[in-house]
Amino acid sequence: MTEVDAWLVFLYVLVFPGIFFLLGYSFFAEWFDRKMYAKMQNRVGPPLVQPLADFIKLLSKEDIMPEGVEAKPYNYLPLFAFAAVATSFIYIPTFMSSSPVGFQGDLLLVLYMLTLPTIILFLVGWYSHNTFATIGAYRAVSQLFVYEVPLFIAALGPALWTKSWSVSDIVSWQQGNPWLFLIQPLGFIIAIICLQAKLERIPFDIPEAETEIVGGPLVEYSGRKLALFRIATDMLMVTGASLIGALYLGGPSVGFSLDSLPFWAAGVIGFVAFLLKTLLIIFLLSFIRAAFARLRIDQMTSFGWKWLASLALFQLFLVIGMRMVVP
Amino acid sequence: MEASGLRPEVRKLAEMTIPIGPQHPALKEPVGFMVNVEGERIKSLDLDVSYNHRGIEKGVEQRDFNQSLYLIERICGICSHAHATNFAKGIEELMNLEIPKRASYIRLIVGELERIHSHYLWVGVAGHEIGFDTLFMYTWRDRELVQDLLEIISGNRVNYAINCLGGVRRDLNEKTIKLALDHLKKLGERAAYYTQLATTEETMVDRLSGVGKLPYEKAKSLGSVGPTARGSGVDSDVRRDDPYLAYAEVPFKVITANNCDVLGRTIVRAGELAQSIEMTKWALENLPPGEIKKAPPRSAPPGEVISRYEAPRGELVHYIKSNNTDKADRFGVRTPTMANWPSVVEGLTGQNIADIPIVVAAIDPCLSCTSRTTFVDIDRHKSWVWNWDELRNYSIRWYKENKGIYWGD
Amino acid sequence: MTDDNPMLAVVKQDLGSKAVEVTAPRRKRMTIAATPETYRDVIKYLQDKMDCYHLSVLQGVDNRTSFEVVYHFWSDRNGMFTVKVALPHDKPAIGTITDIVPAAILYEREVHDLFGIEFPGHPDMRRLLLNDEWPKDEHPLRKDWKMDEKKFYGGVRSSTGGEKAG
Repeated sequence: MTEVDAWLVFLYVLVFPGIFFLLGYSFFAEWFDRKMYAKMQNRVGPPLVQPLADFIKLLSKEDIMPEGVEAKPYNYLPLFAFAAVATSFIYIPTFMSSSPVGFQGDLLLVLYMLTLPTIILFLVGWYSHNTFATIGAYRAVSQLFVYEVPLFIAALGPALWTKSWSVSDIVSWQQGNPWLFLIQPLGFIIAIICLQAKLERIPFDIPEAETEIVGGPLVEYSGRKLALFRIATDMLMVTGASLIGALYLGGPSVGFSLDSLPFWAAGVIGFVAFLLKTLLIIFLLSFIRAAFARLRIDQMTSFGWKWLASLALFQLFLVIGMRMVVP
Repeated sequence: MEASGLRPEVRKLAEMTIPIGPQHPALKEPVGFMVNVEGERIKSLDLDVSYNHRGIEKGVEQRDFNQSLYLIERICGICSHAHATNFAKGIEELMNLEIPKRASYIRLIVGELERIHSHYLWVGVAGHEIGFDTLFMYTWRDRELVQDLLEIISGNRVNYAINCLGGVRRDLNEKTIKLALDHLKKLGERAAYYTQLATTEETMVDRLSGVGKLPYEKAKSLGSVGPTARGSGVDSDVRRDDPYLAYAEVPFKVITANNCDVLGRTIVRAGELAQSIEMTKWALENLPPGEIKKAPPRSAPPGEVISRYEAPRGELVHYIKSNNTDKADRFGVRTPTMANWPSVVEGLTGQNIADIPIVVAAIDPCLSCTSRTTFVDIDRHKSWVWNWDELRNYSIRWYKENKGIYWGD
Repeated sequence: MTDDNPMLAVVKQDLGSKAVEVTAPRRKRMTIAATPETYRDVIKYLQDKMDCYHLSVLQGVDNRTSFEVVYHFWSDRNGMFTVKVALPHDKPAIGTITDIVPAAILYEREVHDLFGIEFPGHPDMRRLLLNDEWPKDEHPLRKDWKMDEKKFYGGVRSSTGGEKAG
C-alpha cells in the first residue's frame, strides 16, 4: 500500500476506518462492555441502541457553565480530547496488515496522543472551579504518572522485538510469526491492566469515584460537552484495545499469509479478526471491572510502582536478553 | 498523598473543605458533612443531621397507643419492625400484659428476618461504596428472597405491621413455615459465599482493613452500639444481656471481632447473618402452639419504661412515660445510628477522602431514624402540608424578601 | 416481669442521701432520682462501682411544672440504671456530663434543641435536629409549646394559608 491517491486517504481518515467507523464501533463497544458487565452481575443489561440513545439525549440537554469559569478552555477541551483519540486511531491497522498513513515512529505518536485525554481531564477539573473536580484532577494526574510508565515500557517490548517503531510493521511481523502475546505474556497482562487504569474504570476509577467525589473532573459538565467526553472515553477504550490487539495479538493478521486471496477477501477476514480481538480485550476489561473493588489512590500508587513498573522493566530486560540470543 | 511534608504555601493549596451531602451519591439519605482535607487526608469534619426532622416524638404524644404503633413503624424503612416491636413491648410492660408465647416467637421470626434483609442490604451497599458493584447486584438479588418471605408472612414488604398491642396480627401456617425453611436454606448457602467473599477477596480486604479505626476503649466511651461496637471487641448484645421476646430460649452466639475497623464490622455482620438464619430456622421448627393475641386494656397506668431492642444496627432505646390515659406522655427514641455518629467522626479523622463512604456506611446509617421528629400534623386543625401553590408563593416571597428578586405577579 | 432487682439494697445503701429516691420496677431496671447537686456523684458511682460503661441515652421530659433530664446507663452485669434529675421550669439548666461521659455529646445537643434545657460546659452546643431556619427559643417538645406561624419561614405561611389554592 505505498501508492494511494488522496481520495482514498480521505475516505480512510473520515469514513472507514476513520472517524465514522470509530464512532459507530465505540457505541457498539460501550454496549458490549455494559452488556457483559450486566451479565456478570446477573442483570439484563441495556439494549443495543442504548449508548446511542444516551448520546443523543445528552446532546439535547441543557448546557450549563458554572459561574466564574474561563469559557474558552472549558468549551474547547472536550473537542481536544475527542480529536486526540480520533487521530491516534487511524494509525492502527484495522483490516490490512498496515495503515496507509502509518510511518516509522507512529507508535510513539499514538501513545502520546492517548495520554492527552487524561491531561485534558486534569485541565478540565482544574478549570471547573469545583472542589470535587479539583480533587478528581489531582487524582487523575497522580494516577497518570503511575500507569503511564509501565504502559510505555509494555509497548516498548513488541517494538524492540520487531525492531520497528511503527505499529504497522509490528502487525506485519506477526503475520508470519507467532503473536507477540505468546512471546511476551507478561507485557500483555501489564498492558491490559494499564489500559484499565487509563480508562479510569474499576478498580482504578479513583479520579471519578462516584461514591467519594461524585464524578470527579467531569462533575460540572453537562449536555453536549459531556456527550463529547463520554464518546471520547468510548473511543479511547476502542483505540486502546486496538493498540494492544495490534501490538500483542497481531491486529488484523490471522497467523498465516492471506496474499493468495483477493484483496477484498483478505480485508474482510482481517477486519473480522480485528473485531474479534478488540472485543476479546474489551471483554477482559469488563471482567476486571466486575471482579474487583475500587482501590485507594495510595494503594494504586504502591501497586503501580511496586508491581507494574518493576514487572514491566523485568520483561523489558527479558526481551533485550532474548533478542540477543534469538537473532 | 501525605501532604504534611510539603512547604506551607503548597500545603495551603492542598487544603480545602469538601461538602459531602446532604445530597451525595454515597449517601442514600440526607446528612451533611463538612470535611476539611489536606490533599487526600481528612483533618476534621463536622456533622449535620437536621435535614429530615418529622416530629414523630411529638406526634406520638397526640395519638393513642394503637395509632402510635403504626406511626412508629414509619420511623425507619429498614428496621420498621424493630421500632414497632420495641414500642409494643414497652407499652405491654406498662400495661402489665404478657403476650402469648406463639406471638413472641412470631415477632422474633419477623425481627430476625428483618435483620437478615438488613445485613444483606448492608453488604451490598458496602460493596457499592467501595466501587464493587457486582457484590451489590448479587446481594440485592438474594435479598429479594427475604423480602418475599416477609411479604408472605406479614402481607407487606417494608412496613410489616405484624405487631398489634397484645400480640401479632397474623399467624403462620404449615405451608408458610415449610416455604420459609426452604428459602432460609438457600439464603444460608449464599450468605456463606458472601461472607467468604467479603472477608477474603483481596481488593475488598485492602479497602476494609485498617480503615475507620475505632479502638476498644473509644468504642466503649463513645457509646457505640451494635455491630459497630462488636466489631471493636465490645461484647454486648441486648438479645443476650437483656433478653426480650423469646430470645432467652433461642440458642445463638454473639459475634465479636477484634479488628476494630470496617473489616471487623463486616465480619460481625456476616457472622450475624449466619446466626440469624439459624435462629429463624430454630424458631420456625419450635414454634409453640396457642393463640397469637390477647386483648389489651385501653389505657396504661402511670409509669415509665425503658424498652430496649437489638435492631440490625444496634441497641434501640424507647423511653415511654404513661399517665393513665391512652396516650403516651413522653415518647423518646434513641436510634442506633445516633449512638454511632461519634464513632464515625472518630474513625474518619486522619483517614483518606476515599474512605469517607465506607466508614460512614460501616455503621449502616439510617438517617430517617436519626432525625425523626417535617411536622406531620402538629395539632389536628392545622396541617403543615403545603400544596404546590403555597410552596411556590413561599419561594417567591422568600426570594423577594431575602434576595430582592421579584418579577411582579 | 415481677422479679426483684437484687442490687436495689446495695445501691440504696451506697448512695445514702445522694439519692432522693431509689426504686426498682423489675430485674435489670433501677430508677434513681437525684438532684442537680448530686447527679454527677451518682453517675460517677454508677461508672466506678456498678460497671456502667454505656450511656444508652439521655432524654428530656416536660412534667408541665418542671423539667426532668433522664440518663439511662447500662451495665452488662447489673442492668439498666435510670438517673432522673428534676429541673425548674423557668430557665432549666444542668451542667454537662460530656467530660465524664463523652457519649453524651449529641444527646445533650438534642435535648437542648427540643426542650431548651441548657447544658453549661458543653464543648459544642449547636442545633442538632431542627433545621437552620428554625427560630431561636422555640422548643417543640415542651408541652406548652404552640406553634406561632408568624415566626416560621418569615411568616409567609400565615398569609398564604387563608387563600384558596388554585
